[in-house]
Amino acid sequence: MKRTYIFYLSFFINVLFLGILLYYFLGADNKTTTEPVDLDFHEAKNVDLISVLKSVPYESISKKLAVNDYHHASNIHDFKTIENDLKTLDSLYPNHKFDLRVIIGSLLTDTLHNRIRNNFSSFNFKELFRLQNLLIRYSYYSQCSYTEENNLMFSVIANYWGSFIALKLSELSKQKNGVKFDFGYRYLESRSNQYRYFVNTKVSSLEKFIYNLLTSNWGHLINATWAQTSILQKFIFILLSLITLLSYFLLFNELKRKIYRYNKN
Amino acid sequence: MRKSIFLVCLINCVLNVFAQYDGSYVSVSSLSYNNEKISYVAMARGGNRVKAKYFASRDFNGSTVYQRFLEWSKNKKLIAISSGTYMWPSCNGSDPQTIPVGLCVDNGIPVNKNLILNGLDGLAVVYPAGGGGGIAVTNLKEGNLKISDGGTSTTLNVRNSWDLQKFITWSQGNSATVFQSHLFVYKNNFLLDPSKASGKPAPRRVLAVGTATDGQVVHYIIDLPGQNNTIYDAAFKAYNFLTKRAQVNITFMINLDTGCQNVFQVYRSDGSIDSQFKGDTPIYNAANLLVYYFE
Repeated sequence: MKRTYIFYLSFFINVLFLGILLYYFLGADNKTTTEPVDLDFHEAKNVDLISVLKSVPYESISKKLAVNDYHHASNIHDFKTIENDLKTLDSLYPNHKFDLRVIIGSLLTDTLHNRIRNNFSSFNFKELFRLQNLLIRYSYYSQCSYTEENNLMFSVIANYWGSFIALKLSELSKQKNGVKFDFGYRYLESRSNQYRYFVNTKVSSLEKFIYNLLTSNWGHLINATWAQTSILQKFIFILLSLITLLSYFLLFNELKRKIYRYNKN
Repeated sequence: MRKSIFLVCLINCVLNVFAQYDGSYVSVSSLSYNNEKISYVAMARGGNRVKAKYFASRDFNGSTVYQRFLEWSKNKKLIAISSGTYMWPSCNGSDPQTIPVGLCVDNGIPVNKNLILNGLDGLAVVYPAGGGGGIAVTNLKEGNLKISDGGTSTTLNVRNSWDLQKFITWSQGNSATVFQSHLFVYKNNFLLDPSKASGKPAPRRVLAVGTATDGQVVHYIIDLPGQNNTIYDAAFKAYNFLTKRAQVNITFMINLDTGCQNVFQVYRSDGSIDSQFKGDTPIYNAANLLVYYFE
């Protein structure tokens, strides 16, 4: 009778342990981003550079363009328009070729970033998606332009947002483990990786353990497990192993007894 | 008796002729320092005969790091092989998603354009064999990376987006290899803040470059195979060992990841593998490799 109690108790502990493990994975935050997103800045207005910059001194270009929301204008979403804008700027302010591109570059990176900074306190798929479209667009622009200065400016903008999105996603996964199960997150992550801005999505110790177990990385698994676990964890592991062994031993004994009785009858 | 002596001399001469590398450039040792086992490989860079090569990840044809290494190492005189920087999300060389953490360019091809500004302050540039095959490391916090393009020397602050782009373009044009890692020591100053470093005990390895008392530039791979070293402990022990015992003026010291990709192999001058240096991961599973060779 006592043996049966021990068997049930050890079996119960095993089931409980497995249940905790299953809950960890299945009970994770699996919310998905389902709302439709705008493909791009369709609502953006066009900024006519010639009229906006009429009689504006060189030193005030940046301010004037920022006031006119150039970084939100539709100009920046069309290759021909932005190329033409750069040509216009070159003709309006000769001998400032590189500096003009630094001004436009900084409008489309730092200024734009400052304007939208508060939108990222939590996972904001829509905003990140828009920025990612900007990154993709500019990484192609950087390969299309004939002038070296424009190529550099387009690459800088692409690189800025590429790094920003990758770091933001990494940061979000560190803040909230469940966000990595969001399909919106996964979509952004895979696109970011595709453009070679790799996201360091947080992987928990348990996930690492299971990955190493599945890939049979035994050397590391044994070393890391032994070196990085506390005495209490080692004790719990040994206790669970003993309980498991005991429950299997008792289970087989019980089965053996029943088979013996059955055969006898 | 004379014949035997002659035979021994002859064998020795033949072995020297066919030796993998000139032993006078490389010093290998495994010793106890402050009650801790420390193994090291010291390589003198005089005459640029000792060179470094870094395999950051799979190439675009899908060849793994190990396959690339095998192909490249034919007829190469190898000195030491070690895993390099941190990998993400796993350390399995056969997993195509495994990518180095931080900015990484492999032989002029961008692998990861995501520069990590917090934590990984060491930006290492491994020059191609034609460019000397050396390794230079800059402190990202100082923002004074010096590059030479077509004879013109430029100083870049890669924290700035424009300079970063110029640097990536430069590394593409010069077939340079670039990776990021933890910077422990820079210009003989110990930089690591114990509160920011991983407190997990594990085997540790570092790469240090410095100037020896005779003025020679020496590259050190220092291995602490004991299980109880946190990153801080290991870095500090290696720093003490180099400055106090080896009397080296350290230019930089960076971390070589051991974690789940602990590949380490050292070759004797006759080409055989020195079994006292050993990592947990077999080389065929390497996710990235730093290789020193003799030319």
